[in-house]
Amino acid sequence: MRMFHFMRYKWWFLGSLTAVTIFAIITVFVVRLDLGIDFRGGVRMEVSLEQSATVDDVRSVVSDIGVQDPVVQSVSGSSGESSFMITAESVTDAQSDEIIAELDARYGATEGATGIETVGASFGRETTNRALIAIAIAVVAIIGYLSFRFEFKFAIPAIVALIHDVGLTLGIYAASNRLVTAATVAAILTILGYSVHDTIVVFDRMRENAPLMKKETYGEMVDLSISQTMVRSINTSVALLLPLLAILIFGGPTLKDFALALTIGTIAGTYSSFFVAAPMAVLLKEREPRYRKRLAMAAAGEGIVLDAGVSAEKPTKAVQPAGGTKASKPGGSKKPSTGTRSASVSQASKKGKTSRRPASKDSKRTSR
Amino acid sequence: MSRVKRDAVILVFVAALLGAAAYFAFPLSKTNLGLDLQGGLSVILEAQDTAKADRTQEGMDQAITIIQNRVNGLGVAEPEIQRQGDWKISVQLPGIDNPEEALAIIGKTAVLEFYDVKDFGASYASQAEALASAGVEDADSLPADKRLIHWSPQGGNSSDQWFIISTEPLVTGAMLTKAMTGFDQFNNSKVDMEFSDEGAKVFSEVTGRMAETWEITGEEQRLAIILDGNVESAPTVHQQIDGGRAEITGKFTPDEAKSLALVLQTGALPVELEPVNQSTIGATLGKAALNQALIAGALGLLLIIVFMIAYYRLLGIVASLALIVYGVLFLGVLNGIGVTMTLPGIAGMILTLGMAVDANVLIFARMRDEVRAGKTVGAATSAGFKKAFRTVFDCNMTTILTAVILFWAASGGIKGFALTLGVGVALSMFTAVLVTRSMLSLLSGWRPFRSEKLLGLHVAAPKSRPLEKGGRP
Repeated sequence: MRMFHFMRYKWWFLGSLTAVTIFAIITVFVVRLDLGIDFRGGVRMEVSLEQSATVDDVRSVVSDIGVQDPVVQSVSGSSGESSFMITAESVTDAQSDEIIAELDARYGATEGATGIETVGASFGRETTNRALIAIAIAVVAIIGYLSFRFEFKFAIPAIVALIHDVGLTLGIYAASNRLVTAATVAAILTILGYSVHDTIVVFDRMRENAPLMKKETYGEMVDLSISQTMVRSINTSVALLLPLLAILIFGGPTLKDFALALTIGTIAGTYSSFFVAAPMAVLLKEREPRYRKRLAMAAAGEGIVLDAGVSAEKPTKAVQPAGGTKASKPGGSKKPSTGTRSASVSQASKKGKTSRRPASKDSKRTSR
Repeated sequence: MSRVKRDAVILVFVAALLGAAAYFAFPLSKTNLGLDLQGGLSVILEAQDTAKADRTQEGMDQAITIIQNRVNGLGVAEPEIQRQGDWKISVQLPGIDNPEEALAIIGKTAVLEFYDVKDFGASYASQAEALASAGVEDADSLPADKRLIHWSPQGGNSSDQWFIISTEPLVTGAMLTKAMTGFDQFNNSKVDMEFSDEGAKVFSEVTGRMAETWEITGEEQRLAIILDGNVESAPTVHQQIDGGRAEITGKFTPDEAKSLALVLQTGALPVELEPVNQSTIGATLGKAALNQALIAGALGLLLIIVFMIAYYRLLGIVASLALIVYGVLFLGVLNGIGVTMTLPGIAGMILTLGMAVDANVLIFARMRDEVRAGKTVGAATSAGFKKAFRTVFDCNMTTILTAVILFWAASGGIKGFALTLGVGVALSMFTAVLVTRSMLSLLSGWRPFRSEKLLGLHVAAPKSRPLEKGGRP
């Protein structure tokens, strides 16, 4: 089995994806998210026209009636007619009646295919607050759950990966000037819940492999875990992306918005598990004395193991020496010996069945 | 043997569940559709503190009852009126043709009040004149017991008039028992009212006192009839009115008179409600959205099944069967407990289709690990399920957690999404693990289900290629 040594490049992955995330977040703050009426209050109208009309035609009708700064978008209609979404901060009831009457007179509005939604400004603020609180609670809940089921050192990388996923999604929304709606927020919360899936799959394998691989550095163990789980992680994401694709093709405007955010989040969530969550977990875990010892042994040590160990360590120092030494020193001095070590040994003895995998990995290594 | 027996029992149990679910789920036409799918008016009203009174919980309860009465008066089929949080009421009226009128009736505070016009019923031709007579500069500096009102009387040669009135109403709409429409001598619509015993007494006293004052002083006395802050009429009072009857004439069309009568009849809302979120969806628009969602769902299901079978062969077929079992059970649960399906709710359902097979992907991948480690198909199956379960459980728990949080935080349609997502993921864990496992276990006696190749378990292809189809020898 050819195994790719991901963790040799962990600083590259972390560095480039941190840059991507920071860039995305800066984009969000500089370009500003286009918050829809769900958050700021306003009016959204959907009209289906029997005769063809352009966005400009509709916009001029709306503007002529005296609506300030209307946003008019063309949306996929029910049966080939041209449908339009008109959004503005304030449209009175009289104005919306007038708009529909005027559009009907000029282009023939389809009977019963009109929708109007009005959101009060205070309601919008409340929605915004609730959305932010919900996201905060979700993050805390996920940290709590992962700390409970795994350990705190796994929860932090998972959340950092989530920041990347959500940051990237929002960044793309900001950069492409897409309207953020209540559905987008629901999608973001779903991303929070779902993109941890792939991280959990990798971490679960790491949790299982760790006690079985007593000599390898943590990074090598993670490399193996990633190679073992990458295909299934991608497959689970594909299984979710397929229905999302169907929604992107056939869904109406609301569903499309929803599916787009989820698609970005799902793709980001998949690779960030390998390239953000796993490397960060390695950084945190290699501060533990036993893994520092292994790292040191690998660096000083024998044969081909040296090769893997050194290259896992070297980029650490080359790319970011300050961060690297800082990260490893305090951890070593604070925690001299561990109780977890003995626990993991006893766990290892229980799992005799799977011993074949690491063993086969050993044989591969010697053969290289 | 006992293993087989157990799996058979599980499958019989699942089949029974499936039957029950199918009974509840079909025909699909009986699913409660949300307003975004069938068209109608949906509005969220929020109680406001006003200068007169703070909003109260009792007021909210009464307001809901009153709104219910009003909505029943409109003749809407299956309206939904619910309390949301402390100060909000959600009103859903499916299939409403004229949303504006319905909203006007629901949201109307309909505070009907009769006021005593000060200064012997004097009317002024302008605001300035009225204020001058009261000896103040502007309306804000009027004494606390007086306020300025403006009346634009209907048609004819009457011009606008201003009055100074008392701030305490003499009689209120709460003292009404009945209100109906009628026509005055000019064939204009009017609203006839009947007072309760107490109201009749008060009204009689008030009008009696006014008539007396008129007789003694020779100055005309006026009542100002104010509905929701607008002066509807300001008749002069020449005689005591007994019998507890009164009428409001004004600029009413017959429809307006009817709505006003309905509002008066059902009583004034004890709290002031303001629509904070309102949406009207045309029936065709809703239907189109439903069709788009259903097509997307069907295509999504098809794509997943094709993917699973292409990648996992017989195992994929079993997973697809489990997926269909999941779909029917889920529909049964939703229709069984009468969940109202919204567009975001359907989106949630479609998503859970993808998440449901996640579990199968993880389990089958584990089975491949075990086969690669040299186990027989049977041993790999049981080891695969056992080892993958922890991962599947942890994965789904995070999604369920976020769904619960979203359900709490969201309002309207998004709540429906959170509900289908959470319930769907929980249910899918059951079908994807238990149903798949029992089916595989029972089928394991059948020759094709012992072939690693047909099961898609042999992996010769390199691991790093995700979509490599295992199949070539």
